[in-house]
Amino acid sequence: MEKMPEIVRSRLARKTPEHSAHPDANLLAAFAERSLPERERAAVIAHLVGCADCRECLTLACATAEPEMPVAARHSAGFGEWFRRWRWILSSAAACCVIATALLRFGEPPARVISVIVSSKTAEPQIMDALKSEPAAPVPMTLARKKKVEAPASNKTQPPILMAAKKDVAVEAILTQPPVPQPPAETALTAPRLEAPKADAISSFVDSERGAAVPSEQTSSTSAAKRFGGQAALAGRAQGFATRPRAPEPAKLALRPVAASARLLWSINASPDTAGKSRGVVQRSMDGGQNWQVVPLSERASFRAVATFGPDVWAGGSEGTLFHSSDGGSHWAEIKVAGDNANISGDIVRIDVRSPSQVTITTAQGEVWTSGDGGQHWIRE
Amino acid sequence: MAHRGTIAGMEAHEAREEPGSSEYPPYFAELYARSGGQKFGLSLQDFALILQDVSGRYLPPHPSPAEAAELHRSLRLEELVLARACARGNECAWEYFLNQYRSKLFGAAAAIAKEESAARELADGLYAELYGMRQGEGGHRISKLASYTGRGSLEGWLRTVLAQEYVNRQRSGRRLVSFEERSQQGEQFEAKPDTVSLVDARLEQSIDQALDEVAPEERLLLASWYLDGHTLAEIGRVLGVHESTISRRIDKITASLRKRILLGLQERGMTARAAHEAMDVDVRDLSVDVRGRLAQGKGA
Repeated sequence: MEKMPEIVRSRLARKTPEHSAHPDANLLAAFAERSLPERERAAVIAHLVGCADCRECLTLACATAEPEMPVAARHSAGFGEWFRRWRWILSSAAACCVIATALLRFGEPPARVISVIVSSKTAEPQIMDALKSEPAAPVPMTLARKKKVEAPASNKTQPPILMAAKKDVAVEAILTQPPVPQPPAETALTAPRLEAPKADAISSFVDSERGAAVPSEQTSSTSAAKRFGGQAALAGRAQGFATRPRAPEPAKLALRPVAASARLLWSINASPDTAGKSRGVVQRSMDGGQNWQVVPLSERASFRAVATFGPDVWAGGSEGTLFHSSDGGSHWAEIKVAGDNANISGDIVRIDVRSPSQVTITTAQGEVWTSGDGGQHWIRE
Repeated sequence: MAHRGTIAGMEAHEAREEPGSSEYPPYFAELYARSGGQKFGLSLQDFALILQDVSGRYLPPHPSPAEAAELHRSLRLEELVLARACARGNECAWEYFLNQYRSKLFGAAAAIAKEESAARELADGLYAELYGMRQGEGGHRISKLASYTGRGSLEGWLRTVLAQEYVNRQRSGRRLVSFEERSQQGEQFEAKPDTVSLVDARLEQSIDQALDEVAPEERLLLASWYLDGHTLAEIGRVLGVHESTISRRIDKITASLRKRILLGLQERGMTARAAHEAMDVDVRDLSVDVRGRLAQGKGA
């Protein structure tokens, strides 16, 4: 860090003008949370420039429980300083190399088809005959743009929120597959009432490559209590789930073949029968928004935001409810957002996903929580 | 449950269902519904009084309806009614407040005071003030929560109040002794030595001019870093940007400041070399008692 000449530092200290009345705690808190209008913010800054006490108060108010680096560590020289200057260039160069290598190395993405179906005949989803899934192939990085979803601030009727999923492996695979028969008409899309997921194992995936159905362990006549399993489909994913601070077992949902021309979209209350409801439900469309399927994640929560990054899907809503799927919505896990000394409070109204591991959520109260490890640990900013 | 009583500056009323009053702007009813004040025993009239109290603190005496509406809509209404209901003594509100904010209060105190016993003492002290251990005229409790206005979050306000209390305690811990007290103790005070400033006036003028041209937020950055000794992370949290951004900005501002000062010195007749040398003068070496040094030399 460039040093300031001592003479300049002394003039800076002396030059602080007579400050105005101290802003009250309400204004300082609002300043720290960036919720002041520009005029008031400028007035607070003008005061802070001249008042060391208020600067100290503000800094303490923003303090976290994390240990701080000692003051002497700020003035790092040598390799640390060099690295700090050049890290952005090095990071960008490394990222370019990885992307180029991935694009050159990986050819056609493997075909993976996943879907969700909800039956209108019964109150619970029905299980279709399905296949056992193959282990997920590694998903090559794509350069598709990420689109963010923001839920409306009002708790009243939520207009449908459309978000195009990234042009990921699954979608490309769908487009390359031959058309498959559509499901019967009675499988219309409604929001079912669900019980809490149980621990019975159900693994049902359609293998789009083989085009055949592997009988599942449970038939469609199984009772509602057994229709949702808690067992993770893949060992790796189960291991990841086990380390996460989450409540119930992930709900498994049945699958069906998807039309070759399907375009994956995620939304909240997009279908006509849910558009006017005050409670938000997560919905998915595989035909470009013409038909929507409810993804029954939670009976108590009202969802307000959904975001995806490749096969990772995040859905958040009332009282800090957060669900995550790492396989395009087939399996979900409820994520508990909490830090060392605090829990999330308020509705999640925005989710930003920068990578499968980098997630930022914002609540209606302005809380911002970030995770760098896919939701296992959270830090409140 | 509602409580009858008086709060400094406000009349409390027994909670009862009141239709929207024509004397209030129409959006008051919408905000009242959104705030959930009814469950804490606040009527629409109580709510309107709270909003008017907030307006009185931040708006000019006769604000335009648009200004008032903009301010009211920006408030944290749910937290505002919770705080004010607690201040009025509503047990339901107080129970809710404890459930939601008790752990946050102690966590914030720990982050501020660092040391556990000091943090507990800080939090307990504020907790008592929030509850209202003091009594005003008429025997009603004076709760600090009555001063929360909803401009920021309630948790942020609690943290700021804790920080202010901590700074006040630190300040009062440094005992200040007055001149009168010291002279009574027999201590003599010497007249200030007649020091001669060796700083070039052009340097001071150039520095002052360059500092005047720095934007207020940038000066805040410089003051926080160079004067207060805060870390990049601390400054970043205050301004809401990443510490690496703070680092780059400080570098940029300092380089620009130096450049402007050098330019100012050259405009005032200094050569480039002289300007660079002047900038490297350490002001601590300049407070020299020249007369005293000369007098010692004569006597020797």
